[in-house]
Amino acid sequence: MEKFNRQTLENLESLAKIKLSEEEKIDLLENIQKILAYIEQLSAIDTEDVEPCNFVLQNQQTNALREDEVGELLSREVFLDNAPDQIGGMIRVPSVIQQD
Amino acid sequence: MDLYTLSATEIRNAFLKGELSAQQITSYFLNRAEKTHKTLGSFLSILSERALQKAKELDEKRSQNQKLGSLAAIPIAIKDNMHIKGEITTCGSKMLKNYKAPFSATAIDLLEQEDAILIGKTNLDEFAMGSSNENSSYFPCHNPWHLKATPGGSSGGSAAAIASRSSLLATGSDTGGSIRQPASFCGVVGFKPTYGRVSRYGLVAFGSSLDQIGPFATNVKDAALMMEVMAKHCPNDATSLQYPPEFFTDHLADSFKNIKIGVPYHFLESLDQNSYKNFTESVQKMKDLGAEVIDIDLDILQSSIAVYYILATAEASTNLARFDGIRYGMRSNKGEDLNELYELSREEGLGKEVKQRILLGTFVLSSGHKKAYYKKAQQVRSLILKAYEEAFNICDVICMPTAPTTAFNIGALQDSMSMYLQDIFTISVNLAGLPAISIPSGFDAQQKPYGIQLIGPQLHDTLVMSYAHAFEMAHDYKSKIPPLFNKEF
Repeated sequence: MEKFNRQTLENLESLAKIKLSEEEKIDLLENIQKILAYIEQLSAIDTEDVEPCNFVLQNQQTNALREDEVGELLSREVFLDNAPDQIGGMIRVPSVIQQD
Repeated sequence: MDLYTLSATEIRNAFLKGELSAQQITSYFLNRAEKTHKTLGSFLSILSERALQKAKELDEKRSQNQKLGSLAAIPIAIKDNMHIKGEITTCGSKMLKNYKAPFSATAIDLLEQEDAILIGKTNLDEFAMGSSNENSSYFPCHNPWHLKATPGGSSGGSAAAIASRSSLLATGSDTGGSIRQPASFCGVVGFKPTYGRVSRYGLVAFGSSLDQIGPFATNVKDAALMMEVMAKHCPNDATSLQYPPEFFTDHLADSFKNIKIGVPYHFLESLDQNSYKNFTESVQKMKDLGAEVIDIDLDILQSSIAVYYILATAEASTNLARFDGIRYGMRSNKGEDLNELYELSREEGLGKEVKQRILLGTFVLSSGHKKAYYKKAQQVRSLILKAYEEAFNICDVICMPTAPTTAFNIGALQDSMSMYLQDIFTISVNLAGLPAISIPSGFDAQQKPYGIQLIGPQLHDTLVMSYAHAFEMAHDYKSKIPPLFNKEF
């Protein structure tokens, strides 16, 4: 198991899109290191030729697809009710493309 | 009036006979909810207006001799990670402080179709991540049996609401033990169905291969009634079982004759002395009722917490990626560009435990680590499934304690690992998709409840309920109400 260090945590921050405070980073680093040390016990278990469990219910998988038909839609009004910022029936966000 | 001492079934009967109106019953329990909440912190919202409106409509229905549902007039509290259309769902998080549910969860719709009265949204660990309700971003919840103690988690509020009799039924969700452990800590009945038995549509997802909605009740028969209503196929949940409805209440046993109970004695060796005593006494009661007890090997379950904290956090990191401050939820106003908007909204809106699990989950799925962690965990998950299958070849139900101890105090467990280890007896059940129940099994020296767990093979939900009923008949624990709440409010 590779070392889980500050750099690792900072990479994860950008993957998970969370900006931690300095205090949180110190705390989480310690916690996650302890958890990973605990998880290490799995490497001692022989899983040679063991299929990964992709779905817990044996023999119950059925075709859960439906017909390609328009069903019940959420109205724009209801949807926008929860939007933090909206304009003209659309959600407003900060500029994505840099303005020069 | 003493309505709080009645079962859900008895309340419904009183309503059907015309002894009580739905409005009377509803006002009574709304009042109880409000008053008990002041001490317990069990609710995040009390839905007085909605509940009284529904009660009024129900009274009209009865006066017009219309058909009344199987849950008619029964007050039900809903864990605040399940949607009720038009009401706020917070998930115990600041991120969703003002989020108004645009639709109701399937389970909720089913309950309301049977004329249940939804009285409020209960407190929980944020996004269902926790074992003590201490991770709620709003306030902790207290154990009705011992106010300094936690009610367990993540469905702490629902368990506390039932124990304090401010509701007679409640919903919880169980991903690693979040119905069963609080049921144990609060001395009530809590049931987790087979994976896929109850629709997850409208339950805010945490670990999609693990989550299940289930009932809390003061007794097994009431829990069975609620399961009958909720356990239906749902076309909006691709993992929903395509099975006809089961009639849970038809199969409630009174004895354990001809039943083989599997107990993993070796796995239980490290159990606390007092908990072990309660456990063996409970198993003896089952023997007295005719059970044959068989020793089974479930040593592989020692790895279940490690497996869970890889798989559940991986799934959580994906499920919580949607909380980005864009379409709904809290948006930070400090971000200067889009990236900062995401990062700061999540930083400000999500609590510590949630962030920890998201980051851990991101790690185990990340390039270079996925094989060592995620794939490995899935393989061990297969081994856990196999161990249970082999055990069920020689026994009918498995019996274990629900929790390693009775309820611990708020603030007692500061360390993540010691909190995670609380779920050692419940977590593997979710990994294997099995049905399981926690029922009260006694009290410790401080009058804090013990719970015992019965686990069945996949799809054997009625079997588990049935033998839980038999155990319940052997003692008087179901009528026990915490002294502080054993009165009118």
